[in-house]
Amino acid sequence: MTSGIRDKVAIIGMGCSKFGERFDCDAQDLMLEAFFEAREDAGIDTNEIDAAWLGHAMPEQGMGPTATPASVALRLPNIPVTRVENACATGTEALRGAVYAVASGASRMALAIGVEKLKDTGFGGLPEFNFGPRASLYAPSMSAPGGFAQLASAYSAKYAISPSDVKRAMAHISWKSHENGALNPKAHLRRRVEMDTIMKAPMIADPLGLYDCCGVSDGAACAIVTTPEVAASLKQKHDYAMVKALQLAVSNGVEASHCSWDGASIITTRNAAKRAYQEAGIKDPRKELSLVEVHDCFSITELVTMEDLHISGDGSAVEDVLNGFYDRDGGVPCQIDGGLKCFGHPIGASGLRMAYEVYLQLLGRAGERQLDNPSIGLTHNLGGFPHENVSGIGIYGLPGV
Amino acid sequence: MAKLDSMTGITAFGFYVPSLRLQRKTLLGEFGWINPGLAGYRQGARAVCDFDEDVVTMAVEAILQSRSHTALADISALFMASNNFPFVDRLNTSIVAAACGMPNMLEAVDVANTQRAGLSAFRMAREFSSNNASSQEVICVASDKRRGRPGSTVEMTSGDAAAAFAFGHENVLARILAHRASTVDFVDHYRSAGASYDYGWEERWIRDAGYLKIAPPVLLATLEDAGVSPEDIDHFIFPSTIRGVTAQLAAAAGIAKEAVRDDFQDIMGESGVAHPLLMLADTLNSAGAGEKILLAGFGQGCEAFVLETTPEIATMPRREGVRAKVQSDEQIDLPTIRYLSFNGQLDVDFGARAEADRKTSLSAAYRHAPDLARLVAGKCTVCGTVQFPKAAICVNPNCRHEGEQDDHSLAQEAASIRTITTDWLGFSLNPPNRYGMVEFESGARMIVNFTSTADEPAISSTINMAYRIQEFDPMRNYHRYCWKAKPDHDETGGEEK
Repeated sequence: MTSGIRDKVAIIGMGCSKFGERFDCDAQDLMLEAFFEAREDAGIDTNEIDAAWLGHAMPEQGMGPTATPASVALRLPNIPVTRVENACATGTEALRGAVYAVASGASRMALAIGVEKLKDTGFGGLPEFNFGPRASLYAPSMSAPGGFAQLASAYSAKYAISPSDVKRAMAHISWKSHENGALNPKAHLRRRVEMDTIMKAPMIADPLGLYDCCGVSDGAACAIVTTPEVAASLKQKHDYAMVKALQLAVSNGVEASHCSWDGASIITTRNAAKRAYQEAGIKDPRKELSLVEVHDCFSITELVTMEDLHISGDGSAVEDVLNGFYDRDGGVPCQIDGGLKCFGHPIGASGLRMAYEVYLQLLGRAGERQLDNPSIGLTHNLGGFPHENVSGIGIYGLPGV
Repeated sequence: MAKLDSMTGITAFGFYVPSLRLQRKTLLGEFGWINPGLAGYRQGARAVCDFDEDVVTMAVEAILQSRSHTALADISALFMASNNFPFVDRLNTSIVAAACGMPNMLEAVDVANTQRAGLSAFRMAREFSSNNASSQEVICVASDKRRGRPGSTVEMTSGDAAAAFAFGHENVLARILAHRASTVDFVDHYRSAGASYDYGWEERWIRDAGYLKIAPPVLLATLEDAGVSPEDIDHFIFPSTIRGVTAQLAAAAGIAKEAVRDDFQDIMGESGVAHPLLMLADTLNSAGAGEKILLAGFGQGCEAFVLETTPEIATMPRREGVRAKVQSDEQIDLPTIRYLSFNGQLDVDFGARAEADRKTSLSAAYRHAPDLARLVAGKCTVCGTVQFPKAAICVNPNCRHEGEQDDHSLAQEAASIRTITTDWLGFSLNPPNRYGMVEFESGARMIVNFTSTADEPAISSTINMAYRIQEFDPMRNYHRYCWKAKPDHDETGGEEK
């Protein structure tokens, strides 16, 4: 039995760039925007950072390989900087590296920064995936919406819920995120959208319409972490959040190649959630979590994630969603910042952006969208496809919670 | 030519006609302004390949219909004819042989460059078999996908298809009594190396100076060699898109006009080198014992065979003939613009996603040749779990056995749909893309592309695997093949979206 990461690391500063179609800047500029905010928040000097992790998932579209571009742009003092990539869970992965470094004692103060520059491709949506010379021999040229859309057909079949009811719940998920995103000045998409517009939008990958898909955005987010002792000793910084759990689960081929997976849930999320709750000491997530930021790359992903996180019972997420349980005034507000759907999804930044929102909410700095006295929040990041993926979960809370 | 070895003959046959249809009246509507004479061809439809079909994939379908893949594992030779092979320096037959599960110790020949190439491959297979005393069978297949210049009569009359025959010494369905060929450099049409389209001469000249002068002596000589009188011919197979020619040849040879076989021009068009053999397959499918067939084709001379069915044919299980099969098929109507785009005849904008590099690693492809050719999965030697791809560690979470797995081909195994989507975003030459997870009867599963259907098939409905083109690489003029899920035509159609 490991002791886990709970309460061993404090988040003392966070920053996040404006997400969106940032035709005005490079990935390096986005990083600086997030970094300056976090550094000011923490009240530290760059030279106090002794290790850094860069999350950057698509270097071909952004800054190229290695961690060098981050070290150069931020003028880091020749410290160890590591580039990590784990598809859409990249941001969480960068934070995990920094947190583990501090927890191990190898680092006093570490930086996690995630960035993606996706709007220099010349077209909408994510670039085509290359699965390498072996898998591409027989794998379909699957798009991200096409990969996740398959959850819907399997979910409907498994729980005998009509595709039209699932579609309505999916539309509510997107409607709610647009309502939330409208209150977030840093969000990519800030326009409220009617349910009817969502339901009737052009189809992207059946049954996912245009509004079932998240924004493809440019953006960066970052976190500065240290030990609780250092956090408590900082002169210019008095409020901070604690890392309660960081868990990662990765597919091992069962979903893709073994008949035990039903295609209607994400096995890795279930495993990571179980371990994260244990690590954070959470027994009833439906009652204990103040808010969740989940990987709503597509509305159907958010729907099944609510069950995979054990907040909704199996087969009951449609009902919970339609009853408003995940709306801002519901039992567990989800995507209070607009989520991937409206805040946007710069891949390498997303996990850190989720942590940023939980951090702001915990410290009472979320402005118009501030919830009443949140004490603990969960982030969920999912990279890959339902049949083969990386699932990262973070739980953050106030000190002493 | 003397009478051939009486032991050898046709032991099996199969054919394939694709499901897509081009309605001729639609073509007339698009191209009639160029040549109002096309109105004379406005009846019926052409059967054409989907964007992911070609002569290789059609040949695989026809061969697998003729013989089970287990029988095909013991074939000694494969002769394949086409005038539209996808590769000019790569043995096209080798692609077909691997996909059909034929052994590596195989003699294989591509036969091409004349409209009678299908009959030449048929003759070569017959001769190879009769010279080979072993019990191994020999296969010939003719497959063609002829493309005419838009607005041409070739474009109105041609169709795509493949037909395959097995030759052997046991359970022979029909024997060849005689064969004759002439070779004359008569240029009714030609297509130069590297050219996309034929150039043809006037039909009246082709009919009068070509068919009616060149064919009759060959037909009569073959009948004489066989010792069969023209009036005893039950079935006369001689495809031509020039109207009336076959009937005139029958009259010239003294064959009853009732013996002239259906050429399916109205329902599918003429399938080039495959057509005589397609008509033969249809004839044998409905023939009784002791019937006599005159089979011939034209192209730089004439090649003819006299065949006689054996009593064995009466015991053969009957399938749908060509007309019934083509008419009972799903018959998806293809708009002209899509058709032209499939064939590179119209340079449409497939969008920025089409720019992605689709290079095939030839070394990786060869390393995984069995997976690709026959969808070879692994079967765990301990728990029996069948898994794709084959792995060194069993995927079953309760087993995880480490070691060799047995080969288990999924290519001929039925499966049911577990997940599916229809994707308008990802690149496809025939959008939308359709793919999903299928689960085979053995329990193996994989995410695969689906072949075209009008509607998205329902979850749990049945699919069979079909060999198709998986990916095109326009930068390097290469394309690779793999297996896709082909929904069962009778089960398609899910909930209305």
